[in-house]
Amino acid sequence: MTADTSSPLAYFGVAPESKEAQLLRFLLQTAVDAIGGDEGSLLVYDPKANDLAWAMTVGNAESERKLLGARLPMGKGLTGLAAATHEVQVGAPIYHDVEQTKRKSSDPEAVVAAPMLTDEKLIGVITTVSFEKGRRFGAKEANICGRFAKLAAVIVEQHQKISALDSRAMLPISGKDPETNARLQEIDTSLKNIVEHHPETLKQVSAIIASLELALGRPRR
Amino acid sequence: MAKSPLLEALSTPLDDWWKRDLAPVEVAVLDSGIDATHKDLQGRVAASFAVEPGEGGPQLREIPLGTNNDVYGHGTAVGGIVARLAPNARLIDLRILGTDNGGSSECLVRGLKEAVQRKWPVLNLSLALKRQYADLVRPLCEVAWHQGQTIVSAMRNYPVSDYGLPAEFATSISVETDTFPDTHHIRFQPGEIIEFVALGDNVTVPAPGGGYTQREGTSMATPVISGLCAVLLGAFPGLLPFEVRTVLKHHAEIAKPAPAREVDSAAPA
Repeated sequence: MTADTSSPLAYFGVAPESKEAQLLRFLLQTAVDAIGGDEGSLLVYDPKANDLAWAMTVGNAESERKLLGARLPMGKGLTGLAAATHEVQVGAPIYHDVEQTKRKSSDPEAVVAAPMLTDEKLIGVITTVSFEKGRRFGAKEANICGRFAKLAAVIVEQHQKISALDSRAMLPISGKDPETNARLQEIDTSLKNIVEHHPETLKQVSAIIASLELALGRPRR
Repeated sequence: MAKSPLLEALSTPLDDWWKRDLAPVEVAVLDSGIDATHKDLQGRVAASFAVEPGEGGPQLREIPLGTNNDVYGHGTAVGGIVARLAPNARLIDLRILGTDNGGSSECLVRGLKEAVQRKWPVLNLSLALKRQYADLVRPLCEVAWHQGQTIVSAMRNYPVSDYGLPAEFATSISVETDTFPDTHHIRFQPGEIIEFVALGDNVTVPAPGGGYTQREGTSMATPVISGLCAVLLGAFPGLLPFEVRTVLKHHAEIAKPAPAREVDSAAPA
């Protein structure tokens, strides 16, 4: 399955209309319901830009329309803090006074943000917000959000592993002798490295291999 | 014969520590920076630094006093809790958390090294390092322990594979969160890796740029213990880290002992 690179979900290698994307959306909605929030978002981490991008929002179609693809710098707010610390973070609005009677910020009433981690690497953040007046999230909500973020990370991780196995199965890695197998393995490893680290060059790589085939005089399939 | 500071501290009720002459105690807050312009923190920050990724590794930079050095609001909340609880605390603002996701752990290790070299008596770490940094951080915590520094560190809010470092080390006082009537109430958990529990649920804290908000979690419980350590060391100067821990335990509510633990299963699965 090829991910649509115009969607932030492409950073996960997940296509926007795939069953994995549907499962992530289902999980996000379940997290929001379990926490008792109004809206939830899934943001993916873009390591090159070192920022977060909104990949999906549940609970409000208008919010999703506005936020989808929008970028959030790492140093921004509670979501950025969860990403930077790799810790679940819970937040509330800012007030002018200790008694919290005069509101200063226009943030939601309650926010919880949990990092999605695979092998201790940040891949995204799940957030849930509540606009209910006086509502506050606590340890219980933090725990729930943390669990759902872990589940979401496992879904992405499993999908990436299956995709890697699928691509491996496509290569004829069984040759006629050990020497041929070793060369095929080298080609396989190199291609995987290119796919992982320089996916933008695949078009050129494909053209180079096609040219090589033609030069060798073998007919193209 | 005069009582030793340890015996005096053990026999003095926790609420009475504030009635004594409190000597100033430096509390290093290794965090996202502190907004020293906030009215709760004006005049409370004795020194301010930033550790940032640079050529050849993280670099330490001194920040002018009386500025807002906080990038996230986390450190201002933590520093605010220490300042409120410990009137004698002189905060050392050591910003190790920046906007660079990849560099934060290295910056924390560099900041901890600086804090150990400068021998600040109390080090507050409301952050957790990954296991892979154990070999770098363990010797630093050992040096701190032996030279009389008290390290107070937070358990991960949501421990999946571990509790976080340095909270797992015996050389650090580790802290979990719960609801308590106030910051003078703490709990000791015999047999647990995370020994102390303090108020960290829905705590009102200063926000950078002025104003107040509510924060939650082990990050907010940790400065409660750091604040108590600062008051304790100010009231009874000369206590060593093991004595600080003993006094805290003596004045804490004692939780039901945890079941015996197998050596190989010290951390959560």
